[in-house]
Amino acid sequence: MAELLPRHIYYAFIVFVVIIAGGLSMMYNAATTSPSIVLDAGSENTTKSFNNSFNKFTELKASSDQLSDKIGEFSTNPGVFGFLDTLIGTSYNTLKTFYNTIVFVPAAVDGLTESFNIPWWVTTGITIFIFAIITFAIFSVIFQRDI
Amino acid sequence: MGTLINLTGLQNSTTVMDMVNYANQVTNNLGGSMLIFATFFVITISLVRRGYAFSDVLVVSSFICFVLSILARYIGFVSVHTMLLFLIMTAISGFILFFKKTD
Repeated sequence: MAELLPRHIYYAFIVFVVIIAGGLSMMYNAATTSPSIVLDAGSENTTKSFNNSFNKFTELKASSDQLSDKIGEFSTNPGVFGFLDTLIGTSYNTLKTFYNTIVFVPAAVDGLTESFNIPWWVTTGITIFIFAIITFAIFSVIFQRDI
Repeated sequence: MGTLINLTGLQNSTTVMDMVNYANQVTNNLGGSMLIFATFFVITISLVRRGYAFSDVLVVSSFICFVLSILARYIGFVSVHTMLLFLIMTAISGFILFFKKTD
């Protein structure tokens, strides 16, 4: 087993939330033909309370958007460390160019929903994942180690 | 002392489906859930014996059983809780898989 890094926990959390959102979405799709699928005969609506407790998908998307905004705003100035700052700055700017190049990907992925009827949670999951990967790549450049 | 069970429903059954429905009825929805669980164990053990990693197998088998449980729920064979249980199992095994898979 290789080294466990913070980014793996973050990725795992994204996967966890996407699976829950996807599974519930599948259940509710099936429920359009027979509503009794999601209703529990004996007690309160179980799936509704379950959905409320795991309703983190929107929060995750919001924090991912916030991360991507922060990447756009960030700027590095040559500081007291001179050469080192410039070195890191160059790496950062290279990555930022990379970021600007692929920032259209989420929009393209979102377009898939309309063109190919791909469920919303797939495209949102991919978008969140892309931003998480880019963010951790930039962190790795700034801190000069795998995070 | 065993409990008395009305077996007249079983005698009236003409197809396998009737029999399974009856078994499900007398076990208070446990029969259907146990069938899905049996499927889960069969898939898990057969894939592990083929040499796949246990964490990978868990994701696959729990997802297959989740889809099966949606279908079973459609005919009123399992409870909502079984469906949610397999969904949680898929999510947790996916979480563990990403913990383990490091590049």
